[in-house]
Amino acid sequence: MHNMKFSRTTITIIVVLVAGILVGVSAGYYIPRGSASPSSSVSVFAAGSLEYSLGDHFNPYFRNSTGISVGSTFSGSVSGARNVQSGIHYDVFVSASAAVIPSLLMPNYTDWMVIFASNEMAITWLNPSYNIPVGAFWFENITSPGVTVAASTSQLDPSGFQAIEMIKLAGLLYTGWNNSSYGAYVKEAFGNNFSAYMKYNAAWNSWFGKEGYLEKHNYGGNYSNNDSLALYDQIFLYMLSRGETKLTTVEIGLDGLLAAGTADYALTYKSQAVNQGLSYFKNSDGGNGLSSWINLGNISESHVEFYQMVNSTGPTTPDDNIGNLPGAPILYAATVLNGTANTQAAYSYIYYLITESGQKFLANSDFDPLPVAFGFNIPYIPASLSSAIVPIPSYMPQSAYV
Amino acid sequence: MKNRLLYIFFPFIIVYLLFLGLPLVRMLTFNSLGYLISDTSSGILASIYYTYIIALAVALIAVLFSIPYAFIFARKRSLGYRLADSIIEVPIMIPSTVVGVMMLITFEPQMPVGHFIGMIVPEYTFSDSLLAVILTLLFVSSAYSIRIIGASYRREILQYEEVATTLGIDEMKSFFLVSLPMLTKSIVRGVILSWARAISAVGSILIVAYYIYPGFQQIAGVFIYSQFLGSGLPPAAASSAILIITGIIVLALLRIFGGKDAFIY
Repeated sequence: MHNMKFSRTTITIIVVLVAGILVGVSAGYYIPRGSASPSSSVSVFAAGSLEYSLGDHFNPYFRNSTGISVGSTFSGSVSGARNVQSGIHYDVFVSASAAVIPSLLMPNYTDWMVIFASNEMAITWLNPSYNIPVGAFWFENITSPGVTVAASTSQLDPSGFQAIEMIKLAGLLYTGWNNSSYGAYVKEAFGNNFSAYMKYNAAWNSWFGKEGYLEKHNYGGNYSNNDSLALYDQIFLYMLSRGETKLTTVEIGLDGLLAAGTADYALTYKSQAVNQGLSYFKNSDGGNGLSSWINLGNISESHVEFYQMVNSTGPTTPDDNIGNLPGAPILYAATVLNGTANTQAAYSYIYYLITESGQKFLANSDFDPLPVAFGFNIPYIPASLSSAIVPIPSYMPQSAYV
Repeated sequence: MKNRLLYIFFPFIIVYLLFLGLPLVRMLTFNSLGYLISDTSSGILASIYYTYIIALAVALIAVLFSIPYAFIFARKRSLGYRLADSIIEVPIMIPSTVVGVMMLITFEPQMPVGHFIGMIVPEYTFSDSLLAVILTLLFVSSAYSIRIIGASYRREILQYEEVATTLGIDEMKSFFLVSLPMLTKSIVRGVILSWARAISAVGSILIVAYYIYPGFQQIAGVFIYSQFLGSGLPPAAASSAILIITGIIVLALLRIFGGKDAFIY
């Protein structure tokens, strides 16, 4: 009997340990409930490029308008989808590449999506000494000896392979007047003005071609006359092999690389440039200096067909490939993921995003909101959203959204 | 009393070990053995090998700094030295991505310190370089060897060195002939822990060197992260399992070297 008696010290230890467990369990149980109740909140994953327009502007507006609070996570669209596959739940998923949703989240996590905005690729910089003046042959600036260029890694961030597509499109635009496949688009792009085309074509060949500027400066170059891949090869093969092209993750932020001086130019979205205070190559009207025929921001039929003339294939060392996808416009898409407790709040979030109020905030952040959102798998789209969408145009290549 | 406490504490140990062990077991058994073997051709083995070599270099550099540090700080305990000593743990508490940013804004050639280095070292570059990886890993992992070697030197060895000095052996000889041999076990522990910590660093390396130029190698953590985002969970889990298996081997070695005092640093 004596052995069974516990001393006061023993009892104190037991009490302290048990109390510690109870406090810990209680805290774990109650703390999440202390936040906004499920009935008045919606959790949103959105592409990092939307952080400014959604996080700083649209989300507060939505909360004030509806009383529904928003918990936001901003990161690379691909990494967000991988998180979902690994068990993390978001009510609403917003991607910077519409194709991410069908390829990574359908059919296990959702059956539909709405495409609501496009974006444009841009040549950005932070250090004024790298300024590209209006009307300049921008491809010379970003391939000058000693200059470093940064882009996202294709496998992690859509803007990576979109940068590759944009660079390849530039090659077609500046060398393809007589091309049987896409020459008609080149002529349309230059308004059938051959001399305007020739200005760019001559600059292209005298920069990249035999005995051109680059070759004379012993910095790559020496490409064939009218080699449409000269710019791609210079940036993604030659400069990459020299460490002067930097491929990096979106989480890092290309603007951070520009600020640290790690890169002189970044190939990224125009909205990123505007929202992060970066300078970008402009035209005489103050718009994007990269032609709509190469910046992947136009959804007209002829533009979309021209975009398809290139593919997303990137360098192999390091591997920067996501597969051989045809070029396509940059399309932002949103969906509600399965398992969302308060679907009405989530639907409401998307409705606000794709209609007038959300589109206003997106336009203010230099996105290109679609006049009417496109619906994918329309039979599955909730009735509360169906009035705000139209089917995806038939000329749009499936690779733009599947 | 002692036996009763054993009974009381035992369940807590079980719960804690389960808490630590379950995720490890889950990761190791997430894929079939066949899948694990097929993943060895993904490039993870080369990445682990490269990572281990770099981490070993970093750990040895950390020890190189740890020994003089231990010598000085065992003798100097004034306020200034104690303040300086408190800096050692700071890198441990700084979020990994912040460390990456700190390294960039310090050592990039366009930054003041980096610019100064560039004036001395021609063609100096930082981001995506092996130097960037080594400096960043040294920043996050050196505290472990500094503390292990420092504590061992101060608590266990300094007194013998002082005795040797009183016997007429000069300071230099007593340090190298008495102290260093006695520090061997601590040095090995310090190398292993700094090595292990260097291997686990990811966030900072993602910022300073997503790949390492000119061979474009990725350290293991970055490789697995890329695999997770690019190819999904199964291959990333397989590569993680392979990395964990090697990690367990390291900890087993640590246990063997440490003997019954392996957990006391």
